[in-house]
Amino acid sequence: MKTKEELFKELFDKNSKVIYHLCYGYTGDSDSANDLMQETFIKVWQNLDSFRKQSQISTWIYRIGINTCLSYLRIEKRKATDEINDYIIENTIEPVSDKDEQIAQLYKCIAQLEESERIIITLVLDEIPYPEIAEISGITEGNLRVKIHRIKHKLTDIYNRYERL
Amino acid sequence: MKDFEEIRRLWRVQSSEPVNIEDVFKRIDEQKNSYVNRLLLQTITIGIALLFIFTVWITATFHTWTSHLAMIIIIGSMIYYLRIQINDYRKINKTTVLFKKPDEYIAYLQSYKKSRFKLNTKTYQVYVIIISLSLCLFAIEMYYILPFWQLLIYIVLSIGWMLICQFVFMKQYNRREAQRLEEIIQALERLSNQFTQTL
Repeated sequence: MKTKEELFKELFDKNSKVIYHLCYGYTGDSDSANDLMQETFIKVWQNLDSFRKQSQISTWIYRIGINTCLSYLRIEKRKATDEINDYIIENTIEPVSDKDEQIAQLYKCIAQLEESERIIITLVLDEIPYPEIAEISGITEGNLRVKIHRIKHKLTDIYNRYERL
Repeated sequence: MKDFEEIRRLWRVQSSEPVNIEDVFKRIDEQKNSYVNRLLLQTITIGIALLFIFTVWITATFHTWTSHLAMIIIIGSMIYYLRIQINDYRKINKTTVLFKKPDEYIAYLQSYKKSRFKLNTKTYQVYVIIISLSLCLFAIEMYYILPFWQLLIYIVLSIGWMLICQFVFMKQYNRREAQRLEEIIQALERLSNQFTQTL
């Protein structure tokens, strides 16, 4: 029988990367992403006893992550979306290598998407299975596939547009 | 021109392990301590205020029952405030709403914000009424012990205070709260539309 601490450490090792990417994609800057990721896992720790195994524990954690992000934007998003996107772009980390630069650029592009699209695309990029993404977002798998198809096109277009600049 | 697969490949090479688990444990402890400290500070502050008012009540010689009633009202309202704070703190961390689907969570945030707004503005209204009522009750005591001109000053100041509370402070407070609520609700509605219409 694992102790709460052992279980938590295992969950952190398995899921922290995905949650960090989710938060980074959502907020557009690494400091806020770190902050939200920690906030997510604090909530996981506080509520671990109430996990009822009705779904996979990863699904449960991703939902906490998404809802933590939604709460964050509730406070941060006091301006119009465009203004926020400008803020996100300005606050993206300073790249140190070519690869870092490309990744920073990719996050800038993700920041141009709508919030729900950011959530879905980061989960897709982290190769979370479609049925799990559908469960996390509370939509049908068919609907999700259509949506993912659209977001992929949108993100690719934005990314290529940035590259041409 | 890049396609989505190239974006996916780029995604895979980004660095991982951005934060240590020890930082999370540290924050859990900090949050727990700050929660306890805040609660303790509020309880101590209210406790000192209660003790002060209670001492005044015991040591001062009131001639009318209305002054005693005013004291009871003030003490009662302070205890009520402390109870609300403690209940709020208890509810903050333990919640099942975090596990809900995003659209349900957004709907919860909207209703929570509206209910908090209602509670805050209502509480402020109750606060103004209680203070006004207490001042009126004390005025009866003042009538027996103060010379007429001092009583007049007391009444004028009390009425002035009530009017300022009602027409300046409360209006300002309600306007500020309403504006904040409007901004939050707008942002949440935008999010809600994304999750209910496009998903």
